[in-house]
Amino acid sequence: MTQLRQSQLRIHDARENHRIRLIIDGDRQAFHALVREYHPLAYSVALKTLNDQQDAEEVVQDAFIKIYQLLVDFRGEASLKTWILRIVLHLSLNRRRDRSRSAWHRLGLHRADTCNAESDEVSGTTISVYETPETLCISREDRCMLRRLVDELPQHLRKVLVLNSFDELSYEEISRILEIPLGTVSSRIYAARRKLLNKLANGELF
Amino acid sequence: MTLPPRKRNRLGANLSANIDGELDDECAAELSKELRFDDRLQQQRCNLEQIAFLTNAALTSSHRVDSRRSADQILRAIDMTPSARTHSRIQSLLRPAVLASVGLLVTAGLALAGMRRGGLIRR
Repeated sequence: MTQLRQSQLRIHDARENHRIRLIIDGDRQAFHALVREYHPLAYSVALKTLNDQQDAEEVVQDAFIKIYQLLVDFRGEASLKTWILRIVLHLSLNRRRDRSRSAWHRLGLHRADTCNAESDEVSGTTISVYETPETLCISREDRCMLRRLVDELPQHLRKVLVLNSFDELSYEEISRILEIPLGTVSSRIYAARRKLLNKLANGELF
Repeated sequence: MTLPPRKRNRLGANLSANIDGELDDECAAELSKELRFDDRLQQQRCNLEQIAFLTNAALTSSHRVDSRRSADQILRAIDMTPSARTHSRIQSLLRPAVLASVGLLVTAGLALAGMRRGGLIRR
């Protein structure tokens, strides 16, 4: 790691530590700023894991309440971002597990909902839909079907694939969030892609 | 020549990591040597690139959240959860209190042991 990067990290850590101190001492504005900073990424992780806007919003709200409660115990062994995403992912996977036990999911009735999940309705905190270059390149139906295929991957593969879809998360950060070795991140991403390719080859998409 | 499964998997994982820009320079150079004359490997790389692109496109959400409004809602939820409000404060006071108690107990124990040895206290 270069000296410049090391010194940037130290400054970043010092700023984070200062902000954590303020929040523990009851500074609401500091916590509000922390939520504003990390909410978009946290929400995206929850949404990609759960494939449901309402569930994602609820999970992220629960996650930040938990973060507020647990911040006093934060020891700084991982960065704040890693720690926050770990909590969000953990709660998202719990919600997913609880959801899968419902009769609705056991009967596979959620699949219709999943494909219709991208509604244009604006919820309390969701801004209206807009198309990005990524979303424009494939049709809505194909996107829906691909999401279903990703959804059906084993959990240990799905987690890494979802996290890898974020440009701002490197393999190293993914390995810290999931607490698995770097080599495992790489091999799981490859395994997940291979599984998806096999499903496409077997005509499961089109 | 068919590669053993372990080497094939490692090569595949390197291809996949290279697509994500996660391969170090040495491995990337080795990989590009392997790719140069291996059509099958090139096809595999192509397939992995496509699936990586499609997966990322499929997972990209077209919804954005209003972070400010979300933060307001979360703070309101915290205000309505008494345990969340007091938890932080109690936890921050608990640790020094626990340390102080343990310290007192240890000191008292040592003092007691010393007084017994000195015959000031009978068993």
